[in-house]
Amino acid sequence: MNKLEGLTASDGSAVGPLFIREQSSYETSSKQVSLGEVPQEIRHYQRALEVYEHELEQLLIKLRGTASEIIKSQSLILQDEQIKGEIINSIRTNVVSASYAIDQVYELYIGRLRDSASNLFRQRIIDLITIKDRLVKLAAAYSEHSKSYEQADTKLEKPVSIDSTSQIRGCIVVARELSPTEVVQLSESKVMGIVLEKGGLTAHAAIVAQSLNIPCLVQIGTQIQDISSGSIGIIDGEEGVLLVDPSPEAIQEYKTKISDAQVAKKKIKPSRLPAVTKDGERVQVHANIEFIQELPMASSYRAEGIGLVRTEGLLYGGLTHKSEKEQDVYYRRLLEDSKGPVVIRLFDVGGDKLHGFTTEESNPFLGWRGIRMLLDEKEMLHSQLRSILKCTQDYPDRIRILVPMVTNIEEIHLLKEELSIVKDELIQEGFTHVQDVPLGIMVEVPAVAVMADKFAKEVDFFSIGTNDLTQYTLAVDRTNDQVGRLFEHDHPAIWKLIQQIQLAAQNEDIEVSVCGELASTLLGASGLIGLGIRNLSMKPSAILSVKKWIHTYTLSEFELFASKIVKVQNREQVHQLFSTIFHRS
Amino acid sequence: MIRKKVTIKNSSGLHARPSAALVKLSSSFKSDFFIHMYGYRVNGKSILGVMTLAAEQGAEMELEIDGPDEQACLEAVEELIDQKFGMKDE
Repeated sequence: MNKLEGLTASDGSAVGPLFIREQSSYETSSKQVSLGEVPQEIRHYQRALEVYEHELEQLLIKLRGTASEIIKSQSLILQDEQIKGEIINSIRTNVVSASYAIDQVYELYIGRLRDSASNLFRQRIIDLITIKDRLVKLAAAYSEHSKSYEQADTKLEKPVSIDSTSQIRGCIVVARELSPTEVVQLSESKVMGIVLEKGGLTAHAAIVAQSLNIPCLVQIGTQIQDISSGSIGIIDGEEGVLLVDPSPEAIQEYKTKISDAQVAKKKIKPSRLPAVTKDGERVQVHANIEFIQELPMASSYRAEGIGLVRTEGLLYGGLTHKSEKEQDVYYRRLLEDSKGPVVIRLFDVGGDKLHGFTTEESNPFLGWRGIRMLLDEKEMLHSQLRSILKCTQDYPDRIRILVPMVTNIEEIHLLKEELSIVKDELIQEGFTHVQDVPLGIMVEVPAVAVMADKFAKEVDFFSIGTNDLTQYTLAVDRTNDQVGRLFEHDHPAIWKLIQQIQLAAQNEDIEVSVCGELASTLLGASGLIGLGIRNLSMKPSAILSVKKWIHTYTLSEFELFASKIVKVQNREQVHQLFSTIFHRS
Repeated sequence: MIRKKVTIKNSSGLHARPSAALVKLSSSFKSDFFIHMYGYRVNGKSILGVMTLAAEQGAEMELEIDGPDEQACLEAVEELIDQKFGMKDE
């Protein structure tokens, strides 16, 4: 048995025959053409573009999120007007074939990336090479069969050329590098895993593999050249190693491990079962969402509601605030494609997102943002409140409004006034069925945590934003390299604040949820449940593991943990308690 | 024609997705848009041109904008760069 070490770019383990994917090679069709053939060569190039664009569209149907963004940027490269111009110009002035011109122009740009000192940029070379290769191949085929495109198309191999599907199904594919499009195509062919000689954790291939749940190792190094096709291989995602020619016992061991993992995943998947502790205490697990595209994931993990909608995404890209109409479309989609309560947080941005706002703030996180800005920018606030309230007509009792960056009670009073103005306005306009919605605040400024008893009398619910609460309480900017390590959202100071917030809410009988990152960690969820919080909201990808964790322990175990972490001196002791009580190393 | 020096601020630099955002934005203006860097002059409306500048965090580049809406275009592009292309630093 041979053990090759690499890095795990996409989790999971796999067993299967190794399939060595050779770097594709091709020949550009003859360089020089006759003057009369020039228009025809230009048509070949345009046809190649159309066909490739269509292939990318087919891939896009299967992708979401980051992976789909990546493929979209490939398509933008293809449609780059400058490049199109350069290629057509080269065919014309040099009187060369389309495939030769494509090769030359792309190589020029690829050469620049090769010279880059940045690893991240060199990783993108493979993306360009794949685009170039595919275009060259298509154009060359058209030159060869110039009489009929249909004939040429049938002669063209499928995009994953050398691997006919049946050959690689169930295999672990070993390659030097792969482009994101190739990874999608491999996943179509049902490969078990991917091993790359080069690549990195940020390579597009790795990101796409993650989103398609294909185990993937990168940076195995030149050792892969000694592997022969057909040998059995094992990807161990936990260790980041590839085992070549393992013993039959090892194969059996891993097969069991993999099927156990699948069973575990399936078991929790019909977690139509709500999250319940071992002794039957119910905990609501909700999803944090920014883009509509994330909703299918939230529902496939059975989120019982949307605990946080970040609406500021509506403002990015566009330089002015979004029109009410565009917001209408967004909120409606959101409600249509989800179940349960939906907590919409009002725009949580600084003034830098506003058109015409140019004053630089020396410390934007202590500046004009969230409710502070919204109360000054009434037009923006009204458009959002109008849009949300209108939705209550068609989706009654599902919407809640969450106010960001609250510091003073007065801000709540002022916002309530605005809400009633907007509601009256709508009723006069004929929206007679608009409802009042529960109003909650983000507890993220320490002042609010300290004064939680007062705020609890004024609002319908609290949502604790542990990231900002930590940043403001510990006075640490987590993105600052010098002090980032001091950002500890599980610091005892934070636990004491959360305890105080929870008690205040309990006294007034209002609900508390936690939507910060803390809720998505096993340690965090344990402490929060133990402190009495019954509503956790997190990124959809964390829901599965948190639910599973909740199922494993009893409420009294969580309560024991919580009762101790508010009494210790530092974060290390919190972690020690966690491993002792939950037997985690 | 206006020229202005800017600095790339997002941690991963002008890689594929930020380049795409920049190209999309600048293409919505009529003005010609070029970027000067390392002695190259690339078309700012060309994703391949922008991406292959391989501009990392901290990279300085000079924007050259020429046309009827050059001022608006410059402001929009600067804002996009300041906003770190609307991407969260991971």
